[in-house]
Amino acid sequence: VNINRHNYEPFLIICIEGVASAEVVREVEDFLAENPDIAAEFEAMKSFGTPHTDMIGAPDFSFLKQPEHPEQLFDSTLLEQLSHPEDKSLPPLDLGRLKALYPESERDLALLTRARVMPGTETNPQKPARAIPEDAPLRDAMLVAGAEGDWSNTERIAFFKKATETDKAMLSGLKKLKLQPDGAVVFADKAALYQTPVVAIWHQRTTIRAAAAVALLLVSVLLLFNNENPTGQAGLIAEIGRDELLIPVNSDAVSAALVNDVAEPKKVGSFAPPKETGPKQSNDAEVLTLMAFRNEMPVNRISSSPVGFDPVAVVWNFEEENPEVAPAVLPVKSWDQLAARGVEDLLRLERQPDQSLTAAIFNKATSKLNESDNVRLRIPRGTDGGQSAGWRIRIGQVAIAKRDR
Amino acid sequence: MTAREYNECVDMYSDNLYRFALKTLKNEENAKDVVQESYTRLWMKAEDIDATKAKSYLFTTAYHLSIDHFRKEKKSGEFDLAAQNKLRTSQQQPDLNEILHDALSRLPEIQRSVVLLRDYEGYSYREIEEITGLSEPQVKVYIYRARLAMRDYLVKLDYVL
Repeated sequence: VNINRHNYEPFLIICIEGVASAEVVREVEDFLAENPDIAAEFEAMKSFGTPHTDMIGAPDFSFLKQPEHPEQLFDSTLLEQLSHPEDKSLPPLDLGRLKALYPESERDLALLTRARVMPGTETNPQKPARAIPEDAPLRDAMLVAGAEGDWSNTERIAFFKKATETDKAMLSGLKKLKLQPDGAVVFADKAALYQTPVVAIWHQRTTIRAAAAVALLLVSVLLLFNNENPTGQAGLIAEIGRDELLIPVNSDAVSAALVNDVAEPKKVGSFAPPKETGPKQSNDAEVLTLMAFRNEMPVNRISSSPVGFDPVAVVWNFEEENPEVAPAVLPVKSWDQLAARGVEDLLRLERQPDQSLTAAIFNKATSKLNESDNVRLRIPRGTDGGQSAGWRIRIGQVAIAKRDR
Repeated sequence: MTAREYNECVDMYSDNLYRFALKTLKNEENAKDVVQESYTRLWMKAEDIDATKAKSYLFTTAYHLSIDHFRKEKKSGEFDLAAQNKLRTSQQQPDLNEILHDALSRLPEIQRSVVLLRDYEGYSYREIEEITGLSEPQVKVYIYRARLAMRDYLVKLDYVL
């Protein structure tokens, strides 16, 4: 029963009169729950009582009838009878009923069932193959079955023994009636379909705080490194030590700031260093920016970390030929793939198929990032930091963007 | 099914599903809606659905949504051949595949869906039965009628197979 705003009245009446089936009552209740205005009307009807059915006539449920369509009038019993005429457990075939229900079905099914056993059967290979029928509908049915690959080997052999060139040409023609999908037609909005699980709020907070702690530690480590290595020579950029990461950090202020940052849904990360805390920008120095991303990390991955921020993701925009930082999107699936590959590694690098992005992912608390592979890690000079790029890293927690040196 | 498996399903099946819906409905926006809705339903039931059954679930949902769409539009009179003509972009001499798709667009909707499932996705009669809720003999009949209708359409165009 499909109760909607156009047909609900008779259902309400029979409910009030207590003659509705349990199923109808249940559906009416569901309907009223979704339509509070009608629920109010229903309450009013109950309080006033309803006119006797003699006065309004019996409810007319004819509108519930479905339009009859020949396509829908296959009868399962009839089909069984037609498909398995040898099955004695079925009642005898009522051809009159079949024809009355669906005039074409008798012919269609007869064609198919008769075509199926032609020109021979696997179960009885000794049975002489019947000649290919001259009757066009029967021959078509047989050939369609052949073109669809429904023939057994015996049938196939028998066909080619008996078939004329015309029959073979017809079979060949039917085989060509197969549609090929147009590969150029693609669903363009896949990004709208991707899903990430919802992370519990307490977990987000824990993770964000952990991320803040990591951020602070990384700033400290990197500032220290920059002071010790002012020339900015290639080499170790940052080392994250397990002990350091396990240092409890009481940084409510920073956490709050990060929470505010990540609360903005459209700008989940930025290349811009925080003005107050970020290291000074210089053409010669490493410029590292800490970014906290909106936490959409699957719970299982977060909880596997001893300190609750595993993995730390490091992302560069990377395009050797073009000094500009191009907008880039690192989709969720890529992160999944990276994470899957990098479980045991300290560092993994991945270049995206369009060669525009390199990502590294850390899966252990002690992680090193160095520039031994200078070609892959080099960030072009003179980038503007890609502030407008709008990084959309959906599972990142803490990322370091490095630019210029 | 995990989120990851679900997202893999997006990568693996969304194009196929979209092509199926587009050819069934002959309307890009409706086809997109069908794909979106199918995946939404899959995600809502992700916990209950095994990843190996996801494709079948998606096509089953898309099939029924497409049929619903089609019937709704047919009732409201929105469906017309002009919409399908918009999809034919090539002005050059069509090749066999184009003519076949043209023939396909003239088939009744259930025949069209069944043939698409058969040809695009390579589903067996049994699998199509599960997706569409039709019986296997029905599926065979629809395919039989569709093939002959397509052949007759080509013959009418004097296309030599």
